[in-house]
This record gives sequence, structure tokens and C-alpha cells, in this order.
Amino acid sequence: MSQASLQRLKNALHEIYAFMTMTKSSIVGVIIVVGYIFIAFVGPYVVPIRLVGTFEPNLPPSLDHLAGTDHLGRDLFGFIVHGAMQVIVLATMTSLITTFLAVTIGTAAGIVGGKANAFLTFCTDVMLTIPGFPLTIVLATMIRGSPNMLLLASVLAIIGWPAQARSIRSQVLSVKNRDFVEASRSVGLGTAYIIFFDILPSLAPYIVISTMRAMINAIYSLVGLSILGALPYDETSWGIIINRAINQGHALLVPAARTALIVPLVAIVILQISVILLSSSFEIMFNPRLRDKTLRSKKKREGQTE
Amino acid sequence: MSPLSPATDGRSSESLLKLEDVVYIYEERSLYGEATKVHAVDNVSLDLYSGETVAIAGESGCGKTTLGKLLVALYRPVAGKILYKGQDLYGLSRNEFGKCRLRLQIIHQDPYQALNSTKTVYKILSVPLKYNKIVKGDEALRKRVDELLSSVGLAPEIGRRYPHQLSGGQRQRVVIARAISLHPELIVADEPVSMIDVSLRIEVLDLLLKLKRNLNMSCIFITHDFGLARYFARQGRIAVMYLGNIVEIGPTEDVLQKPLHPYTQSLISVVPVPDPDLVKERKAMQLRSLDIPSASNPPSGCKFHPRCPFAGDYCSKDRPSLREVSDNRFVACCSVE
Amino acid sequence: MASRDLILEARDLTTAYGTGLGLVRAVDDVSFTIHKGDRIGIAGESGCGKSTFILSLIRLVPPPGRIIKGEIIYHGFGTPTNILSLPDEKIRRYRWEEMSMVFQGAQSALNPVIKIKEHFIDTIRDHVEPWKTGEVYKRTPELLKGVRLEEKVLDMYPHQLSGGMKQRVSIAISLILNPKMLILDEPTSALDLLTQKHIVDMISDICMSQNLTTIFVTHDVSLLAEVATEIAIMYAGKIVESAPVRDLFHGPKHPYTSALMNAIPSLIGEVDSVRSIPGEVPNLANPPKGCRFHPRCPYAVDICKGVEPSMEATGSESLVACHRWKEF
Repeated sequence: MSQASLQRLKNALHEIYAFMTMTKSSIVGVIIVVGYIFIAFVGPYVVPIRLVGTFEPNLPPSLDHLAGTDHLGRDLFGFIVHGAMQVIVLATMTSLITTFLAVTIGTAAGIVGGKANAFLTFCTDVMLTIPGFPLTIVLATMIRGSPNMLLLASVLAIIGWPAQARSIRSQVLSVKNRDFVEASRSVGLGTAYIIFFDILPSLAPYIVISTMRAMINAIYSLVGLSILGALPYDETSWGIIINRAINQGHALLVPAARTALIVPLVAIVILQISVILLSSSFEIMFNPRLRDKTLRSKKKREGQTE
Repeated sequence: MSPLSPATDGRSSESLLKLEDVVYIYEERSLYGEATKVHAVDNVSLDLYSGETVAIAGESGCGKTTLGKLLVALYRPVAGKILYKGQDLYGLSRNEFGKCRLRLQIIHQDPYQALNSTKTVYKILSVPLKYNKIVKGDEALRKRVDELLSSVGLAPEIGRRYPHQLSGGQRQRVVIARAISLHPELIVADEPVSMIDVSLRIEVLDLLLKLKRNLNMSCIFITHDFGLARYFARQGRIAVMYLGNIVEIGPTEDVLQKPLHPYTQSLISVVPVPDPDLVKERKAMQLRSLDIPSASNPPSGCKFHPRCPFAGDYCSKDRPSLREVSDNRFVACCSVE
Repeated sequence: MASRDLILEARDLTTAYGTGLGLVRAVDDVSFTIHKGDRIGIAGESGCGKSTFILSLIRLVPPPGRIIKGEIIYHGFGTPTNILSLPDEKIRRYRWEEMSMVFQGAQSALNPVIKIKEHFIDTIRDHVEPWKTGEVYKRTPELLKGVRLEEKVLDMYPHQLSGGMKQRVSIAISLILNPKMLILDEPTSALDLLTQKHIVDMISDICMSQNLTTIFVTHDVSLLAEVATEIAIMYAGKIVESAPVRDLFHGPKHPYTSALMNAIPSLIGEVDSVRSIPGEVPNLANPPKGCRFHPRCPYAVDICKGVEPSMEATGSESLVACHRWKEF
């Protein structure tokens, strides 16, 4: 890498750091997400799991058992830590695939129309008539035999992308007619340049937010599917913990058994919230206007003058 | 008033752009999905020369913006020909067409929309130069951008700012800098100052006039404000448009002081002037009807005939074309000799 | 000559918006007197405070804006009343029944899913007891005639009307409860020239026939030559000059007024004598000290930079806020 590019990379990283710490909520969001990723990848080497119940069953969270125990007396904290990987990796892959499909087909439909547009309309119509979640269950069960993460993520992405693509298409249609795009055409910039440097950057905040939203939906979908047992699982899968708690621990009837129900739910909810916080700080980073405003308020809070 | 002479306007007798019977149609969709065709530009012919100033004036919906975009080849005519220096613009190869289009630039009305808010001013100005290989190398690029910024009265450090950090007037100057960076021969300025504060408008217009002189460009000024048209094109021509047609064209001061087409006359009689005594004295020309005709279903024959106080029988039958009635003055009206 | 009774007085009116950058005084210590039957034009560029001023007069300043100082004395109630101290129910009487307003872009303020007559009925119902509604509604045909519209317009939907017609409907709706004052905020901005002239003439006719006091706000000073009897020029939150219309156009006293007139090219006068005003419109969060126009004023001297000029009378009906007006 040349000197100039290295410097640009340093600048970019510095900017990312600055924006991540811009508001209190963004700091919280970053910390939690990074925490989850850390737990997911490093946790399993540090925290042991025992698949055989050796502890007192249905204990609430305590210093010995940070997440309590389930109805069989197994430590839940280890399970949560080991199960985090599946959730995070799968959700990320799904949302990336969804966004990739949505942006590619949505942009093509918006810019060129024609076949891409027809295809998109067809897919959206199909998704409107066929109930999405049952379809996903069927597809997921079909591929249960081969636990390939990528394949699984693709299946989960199938119901999500048409709606997102439609939004992207309508955004593209509106940006396409803006004056600055016309000006770019006038100064001779080619279609490829206009798509990648005029249209998509204008859409960038929207794309990032909808990736985050896709992630949230993906987490719900995959937890829902794993509660139903449609996903390949082991005992550490969060959805399976919930499944076991309800079906075998009778958590809905036995108050003490509810620990095993609540703990995975709390883990999911905190993850979702941190993704939302992260998405709002991304939005600020991408939008120069919001950026300035937030930077100014931040400086004010820190007591600096204009 | 003395007729137009090349010396005052800088206009040469070399034809730059010639429009022949150009038509542009766009479709409007109603709430019920019915499509109606609107002839935004309806058989317009126009001769533009190198180095001249032409104002295109008219009210909203008359087609002046569409005509402007046809002039810079952003829109393609549905019928008719556009000749650039004698050559059919749309008969050229893609390469040649691209090169010609670089010579025709536009300045948009809204400086807030005309610049991409995710790019710095430097990026906005340098990319067209780099992409079209006009300037090569980072050093040369930086120097050229600084030159461009100073030629529109902006300091070089503006390059580091984003559009939202600039005022409306500053943004419009950046837009102008971008337009002139490619050495255009013709600039179409579409209401370039209507979104700028009244006290700052003349500055921007003066800048455009200065650049036009220094770079020997033609400038087409689209506006609905006759006062601005008179200021900008005082040594050039003015064309008045109505419902997609040019109804009158000629030297600016002539047309404004002694309008010949009834529509131009009615407009001139209602333009606000900052003189309360004059306002009391003059009488607005009474029109036959107050209804504004729909653009998708225009009147037959002369489009102005339902409102024209001088309309005769033949006015509803044939559409009059522009005829030369005196030196360099053209009017599209049957009752004008 | 219309009676010269006072109808509205603004005294030291200050309306401010609290933003992250500090308090922005959109209207700063403005005092103004309006007589019955006047047709006042308020002109100024963007950010001068004219829209905020008239919103203050009708107490419709949108939050985070607030009127933080001053009084607005209304004389139409018999005894002079400070509008700013009226409780909410009384204010509702004031709005639309005493003073009415046609907002900027009023054409798009019409509800697209209800007929024009419903618009009238809604407005009437809001102010009048149910048994009197019918009576008030009977005024509608007369009103429509006054704005040169036919009665059949009542049965139409807004999208069936042109821009000019919608604007006229908005004006008619604002007059349904027979207010004594009417405020119009840029009523002709989106309309073409011929319609504009038509509406301006119509407003003048209505005002004269009903002795209606009118305030007409616009950034197009030339337009005011047609409709106003008196003009106030605003700059950076203050009124810098107010005078009868002829005096203002033929003999402006404030340097900003004359510079503004000079910066607008028109169809009359020397084309070459037009000049921009150098500098930029000031930032209201941090306006210049002393006279707000001094950074751009060719006649500024030391006192202008330190002391804010107050409004002085230059004639029986004219006022100007400039330290050096006597020299011009």
C-alpha cells in the first residue's frame, strides 16, 4: 500500500472511532456488540459446558451460576456462551445476503427497469401470497441434513429480500432524478460511476439501517426456527434452551423453571437493542449533516467552545 | 433601439446549436393510472450562436426548463433535429456525442440539490476533470481546482468543505465552477438565482456574465422573472415561451419595451415594477378568459387564442409559426404584420 | 379616507427560538403600529424575521419558538387588550374572528379528501355555536363572489381546482368569520404572473370594500407597489424603515432600503445601475453589534458599530432606524 493510501486508511479508522464514541447510546451499543462478539468467539475456550446435569436444578442466577441452571441441573451460562456463535454468525450472514440481494436487484430494477424490475415485482408478489415464516420452516427442514451455515443463511434470507429490494428500488428511482445526478451525467460521468459514487452513497445510510433491521429480523427468525426445532442444533442453541424449558422444564407452569426461559430471551433482547443503537450511530456517521450537528452537541457537552 | 450587433454581445455569426422542429413529450399519470401525453416542447426551432446571451422567459409549465435540458442533451428529442456546429447531434457516434455533450453544460436552479452532499467540494470539482482526462496528476488537479474556485470568487480552502457547510450563494458558485471546468461552449442556466437572496442575486449574475466573456461562451438564461432576464440578456436576445412554443424572440430591450405578441404584451403589463405611480397608471391587458389551458390538452390552432383579446376566426384553426417581422425579430402570431 | 384609528400595536416584541447554538432572536425588540384600513406590506429577505413577526401577531409561533418579551395590543375588542396575556379560549376567539391568516403555501393546506364546502363548515364549526352555523355558512356565496369564484366551487375537491383558485378559496375561508384584520404570507409565490396580478387586485378590492386591515408579507418588494399603502422593511429581526408606499419607493431613507431597491433589476430604470449588496445576511444567533446592517453599509461610521439605532420619525407617517438618516 502506498503512503497516501495508508494515511487514508488511518484517517478512516480514526473517523470510525470518533463516530463510535459520539453519543452515549452509540458507546453503549458498540460495547455490547463487541462484548457479544468477544463472548461468541473467545468464550467457548474459557467457559466450560457440561451436558450432564450435576447441579441443583432450576437455580436462579447467582455468583456460582451467572445464568442459573435449567430443569436438568445444567449450568446455563456455559450454554449461552457456546450458543452465541450460532446466533451471531448466522444473523450476520443472513443480513448480509439479504442486503446484497436487495441492493443488487433493487438498484438494477431502479436504474434499468426491464427484466430486473419484472423479476422483482414477481418475487414480491410471490412473497405476498405465500406465508413467509411457514415457507422458511419448510425450507429449513429440507436442508436440515447438511448443516452448512451459508446455505442456512440463504434460506433465511429468502423471505426478507424482496421487501427490502422494493424500498431500495423506490429510493433509487427518486435519487436518479435528482439534480446532482443529472449534473454528473452532464459532466460526462458514466453510468457505473453514477451508480457507485452518486446513487449508492446517497442510499448508504438507508442500506446500513436496513442491514441492521435485517439482522434483527434474522435473529428473530432463527431463534423462532430453532425453538421449533427446524434448525440443526445442539443443546447450546438459544432457541433449543427455550424449547427445552417450555416443553420439558414446564417453565410456563413452574415458576422456578422460568430462569431457563428468561435468560436466553434477555440475551436476545440485549443483542437486539445493541444492534439498534449501533445502527443509529452508523446513520450519524454516514450523514454529514447529522454528523456536524452531533459533533457540535458533543463539543458543547464537553465544554468546548465553537 | 439599435439592432443587435456582434460587437456588443460578443456574438459571432457561427451557428453553435440549431434546433429544428424539436418535440419533447412526457407522460403524466393521473391517480387512476391514465396516462396523458404532454407536449412540453412542441415543435420548437431555434438558432443559437457562439458567444451570445439568450434569455428564455415564460411562466411555469411553458416548457423552458425542458428546452434547456434538450439544449444540453440531457433529454433526447422525440422528433426533430439538433445540430451542433452543423452536425446532427444524435447522428454522431457515441464517442463523438459524449465529447460534444461536454461542451454543453447546465446550471441547476436549486444549489441545495445540485451538489452531492456526501462529497467534498474538491471531489465534486476534481472528479469530472480526472474522469474526462482533462487534467492528469494529483498536483495539477489540485492546482486546477484552486484556480476554478478562485475564478468564481471562492477561497481554495472551500475545497475541503461539504456542501451543507456552505451558504446558498457559495454552493451556486461551486455549481458554476463545475460547469465551466470542462471549457463548455454553451451554458444553460436554469433559474440560477431564484433560490438565492434578493440582495445577492446580481453578484452571481455578474459572475456568470464575466465568465461568459472571459471564456467566450454562449449563455442561455432561463427564468420567469423579466427583470432578471432584462439584466442578464440586455445585450442579447429574449425568447418568450407559452405552452411549449416560442411565441416571440428578438433583441431583449426591443421585445420588453415594445412587445408584439399578445401574450408577451399581457405579461409585460402585469410584471411588478417598483414604482407605485406607474402601477396606478398602467392597465393590465384584459384577457378573454382567466382559465389556464391544460398542457396535456392544449387549444387547437394558436394555443393562446382562447385568452387572446385580438383573436380572429383563423386563430383557432392554424398554429402560427415564427415569422420575421423586422430585423431579427420573430413573432408567432397571425395578427402581427 | 379610511379612519385612522389604531387597531394593532406591537411594543418591544421579541420572539426567539432556542436552538443548540443559543437563543436566536428572529424578531428582536420590534415596535409597530397599525391603523384600521391600512394595507401594510412587510418585505425583507430570507431570515429577516417577517414570517415569525406575523406568526407572533396571531400567536402561532411554532415551538421551540416563543415570544419572550413585549406586548401586542389589540384595539378591536373595544378596550385595548394585550393579546399575549389572553387565555386560550379567548385566543381562539381572536384567531379567525378578529384576525385571520392565509399561510404560505395555503393552496396545499387544503384537505384533499373533503369538498371545499366542508372546509368552510369545519372552520365555522370550530368557532360558532352549532345553531348558528347555518347562518354563517350563508355568507359563503357572497364571499366566493368577492374572490371571483363561482358557487359551484363548493362542491368540488381541491385537486379539481387550479393553484390560483385554491389560493382564492383559502382567502375566502379566512374571511368567513368577518375578521377585522387579514394577514397574507407570500400569497402569490407559486402562481404565474397573470394569476398573481389578478389575486393582488382582488385583495386590494376586498380590503377597500370592507375596510379590512391587511398585512401582506413578501420577499418581492416590487409586488408591494401594487397592493400596499404602507411598507415596513425588515432586516435581521428588526424593522429598519417604514413609510407610505410612494415615499418608500421614491425616497428611501435607510441605506438597506435603497440598497435593496437597487439590487432588484426591473423593467424600468437603468439596467446598468443595479448592484448587489456586498456581504452576507447576518447570523441571527450572533448578530453584528450596533446597527445590524453596518458590516454591509457603505455609510457606516463609528457610532453605527457600537450603538443600535432606534426608530425615529422622519415625517408624519414614516420611521427609520439609522443614525445618519438626516444626512441622506
